[in-house]
Amino acid sequence: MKSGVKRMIEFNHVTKKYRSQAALNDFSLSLPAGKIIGLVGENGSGKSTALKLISGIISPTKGSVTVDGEVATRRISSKVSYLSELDAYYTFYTVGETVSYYASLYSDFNQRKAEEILDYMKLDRRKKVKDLSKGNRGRLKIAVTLAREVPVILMDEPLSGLDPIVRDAIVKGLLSFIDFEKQTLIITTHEIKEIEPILDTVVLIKDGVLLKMEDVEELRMEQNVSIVEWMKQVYQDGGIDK
Amino acid sequence: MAEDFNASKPIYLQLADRINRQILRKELENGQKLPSVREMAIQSGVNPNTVQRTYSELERMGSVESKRGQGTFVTEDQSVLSQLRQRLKKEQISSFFEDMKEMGFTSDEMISGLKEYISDEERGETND
Amino acid sequence: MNPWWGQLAKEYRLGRGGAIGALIALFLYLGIGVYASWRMGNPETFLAFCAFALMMHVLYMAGYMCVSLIREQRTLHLWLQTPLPAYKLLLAKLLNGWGALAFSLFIISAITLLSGTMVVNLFELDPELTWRDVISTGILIDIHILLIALYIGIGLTFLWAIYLVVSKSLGKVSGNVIGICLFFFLPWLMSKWEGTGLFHALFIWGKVDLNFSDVAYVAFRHVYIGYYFYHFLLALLLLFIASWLIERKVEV
Repeated sequence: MKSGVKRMIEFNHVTKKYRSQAALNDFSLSLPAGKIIGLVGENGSGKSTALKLISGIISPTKGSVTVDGEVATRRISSKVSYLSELDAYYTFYTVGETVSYYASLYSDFNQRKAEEILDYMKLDRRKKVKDLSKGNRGRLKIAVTLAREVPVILMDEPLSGLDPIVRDAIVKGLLSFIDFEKQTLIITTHEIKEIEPILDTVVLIKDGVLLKMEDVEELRMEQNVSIVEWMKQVYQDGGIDK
Repeated sequence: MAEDFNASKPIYLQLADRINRQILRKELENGQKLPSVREMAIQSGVNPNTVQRTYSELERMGSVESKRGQGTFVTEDQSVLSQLRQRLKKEQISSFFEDMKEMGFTSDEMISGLKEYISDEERGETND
Repeated sequence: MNPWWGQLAKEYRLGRGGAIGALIALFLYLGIGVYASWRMGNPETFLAFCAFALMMHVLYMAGYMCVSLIREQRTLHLWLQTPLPAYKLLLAKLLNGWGALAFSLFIISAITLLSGTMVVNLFELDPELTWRDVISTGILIDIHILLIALYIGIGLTFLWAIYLVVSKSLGKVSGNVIGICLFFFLPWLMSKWEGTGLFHALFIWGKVDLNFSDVAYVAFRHVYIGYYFYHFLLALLLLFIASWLIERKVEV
């Protein structure tokens, strides 16, 4: 990666244990600003844990995580917009009320952008959240996450459980609604094929350990492989770097 | 809208190739303004940094020119365009030639086969 | 709207259903009271029903916070993700619950007052009783119900925070066991401590005589400001610990 690029997120020898099990193990990683970064790996590899640590809703057992130079605690939410993989909402709200609630919480929430995204996602503002289909709940979650003008956007499995047309619309939506000059997007997903063309960088995790981080275009240029092919190779080699 | 890219080849080159072909087919007129990086990214479903790289590559090849503060335009320089035309022709022929050679055809077979194919095409016959 | 108002509004929506449910339950209960008192031909029965309902409001915040916290627990990450500090998150719940309690308490107080003066005429039963006695006793009772209910609500929030931390690190069963143990152990510990000489020296001061009425309950003949101060400090401490735990130790 080019030098002089601003580092936005730093994992410094981070270990995160749940009871006695380590979800991340001595994990160090430095992510640049202004990129779309894919965090990939098998189920239970520690992808979600990594995102939660950046969002500050969990804290490391050992080591430190910083965002834009600031240690990630719950308060980091002023710099980080986090989309959880969980299908959970305040079901007593309508779509419009959900947007207003988020608008009240965050001073960086761009109401006009939110309206645009709702239109783009074809969401009915008057509908109760509890009456939405799973696909539409997923879209609403994405709308409130993207409407914030924050330096870091985290998306944990935003495409999972959605049908291909919705997935395609969402990937296009990411391109339309993210401000690449100012925002860094980190996304975890199983649907690598769908987001492959929009990624700058891919980070591969296995069993809580960082296997490799690569520039996606370099991969294609130097190794003539797609991300999926590369993942298989690295997983087979056990990821020993050079 | 956009057809998929080959995931194992650099996308910025594939996109540059597409744009060059559009220029030769006159889908993009000489002097026409290309979409902004962001628009192009959305249209083709790729990362804006990739589009930026594509535009730089096209500029290096000479098929587009960027004007400060105005955007990127298809070149009006005819010599560059004819060079582009020659280059794409050569690329296409070389890939045809390599494939045929691999399958064991001789140069003469290739030339006669090509001639036969073209004359059939021109007579409007359908071969099978 | 700023985050604090947004959060208050959200808690209002979250708690509204439960509060309305509690009101409906109250009216159903009073309906039973009316029926019982009509069947027995005894107007005092209804007054007893009212008085009991009034006293039960001491537990109102416990119920409210239980419902609110359990509902919140289902979408805990949304709650923890908010940019508000934990104490504000808790206050938004407590204030909404307190508002709902005040509303419900006002209604039951009014009904109790009406039934005490119109259905059963207390002034006839006791000629020395004045309106002033009745109103000031009523206000005194209501204030204490509001304070004690809030206190219980805060205590419950404290236990909930401990439960969340323990169940995450040791498992749900341990969380429940430790929560229940604390529920019984802490009050026992408190009563021991309040029996000590040190406690008396520190907090039993500022005696105020409540000599407005002979009818006023014997228990309220006089109170100590210091004792209220002590409970105020304790409530602050519990709220502080709960907030700190949620801020730093609760994870999803």
